[in-house]
Amino acid sequence: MIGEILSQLRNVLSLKRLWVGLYLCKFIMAGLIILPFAMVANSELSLSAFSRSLVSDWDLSVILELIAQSPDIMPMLLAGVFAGALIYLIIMQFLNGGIYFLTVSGKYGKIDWKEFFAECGGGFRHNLYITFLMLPVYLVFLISANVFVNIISFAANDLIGKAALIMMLIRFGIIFLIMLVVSIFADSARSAAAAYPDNNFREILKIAADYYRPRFRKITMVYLLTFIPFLIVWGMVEKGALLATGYSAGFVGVMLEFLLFQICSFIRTGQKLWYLACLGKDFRSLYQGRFLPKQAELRLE
Amino acid sequence: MMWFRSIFLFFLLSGVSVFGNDFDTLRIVASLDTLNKQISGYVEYRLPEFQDLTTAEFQLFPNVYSSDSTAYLKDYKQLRNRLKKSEKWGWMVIDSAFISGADVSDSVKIEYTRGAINAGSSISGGSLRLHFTLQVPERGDRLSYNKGDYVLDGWYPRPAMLKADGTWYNPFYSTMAELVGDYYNFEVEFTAPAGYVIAASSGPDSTVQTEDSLNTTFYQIGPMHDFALALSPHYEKLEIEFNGVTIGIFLREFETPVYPRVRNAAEKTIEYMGKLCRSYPYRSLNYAFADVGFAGGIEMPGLIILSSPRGSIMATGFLDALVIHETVHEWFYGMVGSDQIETPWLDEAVTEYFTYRILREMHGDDGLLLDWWGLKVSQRDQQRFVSDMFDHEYLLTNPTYGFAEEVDYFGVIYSRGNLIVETADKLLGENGDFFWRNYFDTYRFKRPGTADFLSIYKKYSDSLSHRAVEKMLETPAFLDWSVGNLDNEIISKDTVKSSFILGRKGDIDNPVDYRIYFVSGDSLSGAWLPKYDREKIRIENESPIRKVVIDPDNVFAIDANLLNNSVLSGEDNLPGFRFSSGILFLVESVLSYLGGL
Repeated sequence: MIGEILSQLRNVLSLKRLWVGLYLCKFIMAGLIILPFAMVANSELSLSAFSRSLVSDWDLSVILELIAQSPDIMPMLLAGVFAGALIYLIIMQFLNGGIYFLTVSGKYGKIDWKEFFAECGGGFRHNLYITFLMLPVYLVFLISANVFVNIISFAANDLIGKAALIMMLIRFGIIFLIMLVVSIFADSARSAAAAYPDNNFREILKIAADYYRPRFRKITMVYLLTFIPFLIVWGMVEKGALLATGYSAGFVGVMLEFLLFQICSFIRTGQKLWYLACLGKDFRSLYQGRFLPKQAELRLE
Repeated sequence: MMWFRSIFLFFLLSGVSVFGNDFDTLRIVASLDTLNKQISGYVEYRLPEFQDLTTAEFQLFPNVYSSDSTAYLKDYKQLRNRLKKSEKWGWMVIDSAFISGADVSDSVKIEYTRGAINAGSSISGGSLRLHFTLQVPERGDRLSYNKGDYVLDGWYPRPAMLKADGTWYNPFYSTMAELVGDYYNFEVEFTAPAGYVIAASSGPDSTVQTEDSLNTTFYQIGPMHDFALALSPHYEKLEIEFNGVTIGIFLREFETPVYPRVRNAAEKTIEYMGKLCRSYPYRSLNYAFADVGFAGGIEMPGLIILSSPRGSIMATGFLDALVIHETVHEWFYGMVGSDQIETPWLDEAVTEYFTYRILREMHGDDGLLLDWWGLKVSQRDQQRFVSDMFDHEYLLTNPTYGFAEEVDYFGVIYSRGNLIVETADKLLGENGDFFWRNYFDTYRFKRPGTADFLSIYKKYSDSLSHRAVEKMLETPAFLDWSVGNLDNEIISKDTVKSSFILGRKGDIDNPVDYRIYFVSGDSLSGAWLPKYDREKIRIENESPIRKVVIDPDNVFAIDANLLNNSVLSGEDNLPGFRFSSGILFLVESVLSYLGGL
């Protein structure tokens, strides 16, 4: 399986313009969300020597002082994140049409952008429906997962220190896995929508369910195998950022940290594309839909 | 049972009070019935000598748990609901009462937590003996049982306090107040099933096993204003000697990982407070973990209850702060017995301030509670943030019952109180520690009020500082120092004309220091006595000014805004950029998980 997953890396690299574009979309959206916050924060902090410790540490004394002096700053940020996330979610449902078209069809290499955006538009309705369908499902599973881990941790109520930390990580891991398994159904449905765009929504869900039932263990494993390298990179980025600002609490350190954070964000986009490439190939091997090769069709006749 | 009494008498005669015989003796003989969760026995003490004293009052604290309509439980929704569900209420009744041997049981009147006897004739200096039965409530706070474990505070009829005018002070309690009482030498004879390990306000003088697998333990300690116990069959007692004090730490097996931290924080505090005030005067100080219904601790003289840290990953210094806080209370509440109902700031704000000082010694900076992957959180951050959350019209000198909400009480008394006490201390400069020693010595085993605190403070401060502290205590005083508009005008190669504006908002008239840092590396200090709220300072120097800081040593800890206490000659966008960069990455991560890419 590892060889199969690694072989998809080459395909992802061939989509580098899409990769960069998707990262920039996320970066610009996040930038727009935090812009008002960043302006207020900068005007409050830029003339004060007290804020200087923020260059080397995430010093809560400065952050809390900022929040105390500008009480609107946090509600403003949270409202921005909420509204921005909603807009981003809708934009992504548009882009999913094109992305899943590429990964399920296996059309790697040079992207025909006209075709890509046509697929984006064509798949938008189904992808939006899938999102609407999945939101309450995620909520139900999140609550159920929490109840489940609370039952487990109730039995381990007396743990303290490292043992409690391990238990906390196990709890987090269980919730993550449950949510992952649920999200893989959404990915299956999007793949089905890309392969069978003319089917109605009910039929798409049926195909997704037929694919999901026997394959969700394998796809979960695929996701984890693509996610673990990202986790390692993320850890390295956090440590690198800490070292950068620790050794150079100035322009160089702060810029290095910014770059590391953005590299991490870029790799996260790549990780998901990598996973989708693996999923697309697996889905295509069972459900070709409109991507069924023409000669195979002729032979059947 | 004669041999039994003889042994007790022997220990009474051999025991020595910490401060001689200046205090009356309060004797308690009681036994715990674990089957019915009841304690029965008697207390005996001498009534004060006061001309024409014909009444005696006492406090029956357990009655705060007697029904869901008590004032105490009205404020404590969680506990009220718990007791309502289990119906395991707590109460105390007086079975009989005797004054100097005469039966006065018919004269006993009980109203909620107030017990009173009207003898009709003078009972000045008489001996009062009250036979009582206590029903321990299930899962309460300072008085409760939970499964087989017990926390017992306020578990016996406590003497009310006679005021100078001959009337009794017999207060009603709220959930936020500690118990109030006069100082006594305690002689306690407590019987419990032999399987129980007992933590008490004192180490045991002796334990005798009686028939029926019961143990009777004798304690003699004083002067104290309370005597408390914690019992569990699961306790393991770890004991160490430190500076002449036996520190006993009572914990269940699963709590043993936290033992080194409790021990370390206890030792540091005993040492620090010993140097600042006086050494801890009693033989022992006990800490017991218990499942109380909140995260925190309960301070009682000689015995500290700590909420169990079960389930905690212990990544922060919260437990250290908790142990230090409760241990400092042994000095400010235990020994200086300020009234927690009328003047809660005198023990909570003062204790919180010394907690901060000790944490600074232990963890550096501003008392760091967390230093993890570049994220720093300190005790000071917590105090400043919480002190900003309450209604600013509340005064620090408000009584406990003068706060509508708990958040206001904690915000004012603990957090803002800490900042005010710190400001008061720093205004004294080098006299600070002498003031605390004198205040402690003067009011040890007494109940001082705000005026008493200020009278000692006056001896060590100048008139401006004294006035400032009075304002901070008795008005919703506000203060914000600021510096801004820094301008450097280069006149010639060797001459730069610089100016900046110092500002003050609020009611404090004290002079404040400011410090000028030049580009050349030199610095210059000055003091500003604010006649007006804003004043422009002009200075001519060879080098331009790089930055100016007002109140550089943060003497005025109550300053509302620390960001405007310094000004730079040019903008430094790095802190804002870095903060925004971190938030940007966070938002990108949120978008990744929501949008999938």
